[in-house]
Amino acid sequence: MTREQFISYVEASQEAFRRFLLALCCGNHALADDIAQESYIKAYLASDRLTEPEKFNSWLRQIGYNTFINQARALKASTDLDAAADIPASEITDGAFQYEALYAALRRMPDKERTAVILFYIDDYPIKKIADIVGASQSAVKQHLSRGRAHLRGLLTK
Amino acid sequence: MDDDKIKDILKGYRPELTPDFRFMASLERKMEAVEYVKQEMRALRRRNKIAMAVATVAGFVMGALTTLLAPLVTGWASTSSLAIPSTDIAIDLNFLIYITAALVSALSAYNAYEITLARLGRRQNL
Repeated sequence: MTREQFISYVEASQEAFRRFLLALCCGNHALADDIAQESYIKAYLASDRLTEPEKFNSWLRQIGYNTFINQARALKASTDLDAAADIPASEITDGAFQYEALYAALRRMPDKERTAVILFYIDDYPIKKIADIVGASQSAVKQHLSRGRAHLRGLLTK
Repeated sequence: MDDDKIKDILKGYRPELTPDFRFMASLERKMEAVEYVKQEMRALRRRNKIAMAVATVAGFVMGALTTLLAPLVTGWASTSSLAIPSTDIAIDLNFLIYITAALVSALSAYNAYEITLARLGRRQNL
């Protein structure tokens, strides 16, 4: 894949991918953008191994998910992810409050449940693709999804 | 709260992101840096390959020369005052020749490798 081709893929995918990561990072813009950039660089370096370009988006999410898990582990070692998510992101004055309740609920969910819920509801991925992305079986993903939905329902109702 | 409400919240998730142009500019800068590192690695691998080839040839040539010249040197040594005095210790002359040839070959290969690498590096920096 040439650099120009890769950039065109990035331009087409970056908005949805960053949204996915922002939800995964529970509203921490800086962390989500860092993971997005790192994931794209990893994807660029490994782009020769991508044999089916139509699978770019799910492949990218797989890289993003793994990068997120690694970052979360590193963050947990140094600080708490919840505390990191509370760091105010400069320039984003939006709508951040609009999703505060959702982010607070997502923050209280385990990573696997959160990922399954985000990929299924926000990104519209089928169970099989989610299983490929997170590296779990389809039944495990269904379980994460069902538990995540119940968790989210409980947390948002509070 | 029912499932439909949760679905609606998640389906309607459209948060404001940092500006696209800033994200892309930062990513392209990083990609340029990666590209530079990749080019440097390619050049380094190429230089290493050339240096290895030169070292192999140099080692082989010097080893062959030493082996070919060995009978002349030993012949000259045995007739000159450098002849090894007779001792109780038996010295295998062939063994000495092979050891000398191997040492000369290894040293030549190492020097050729280092010199080639330095020259190619200097040429690239110019």
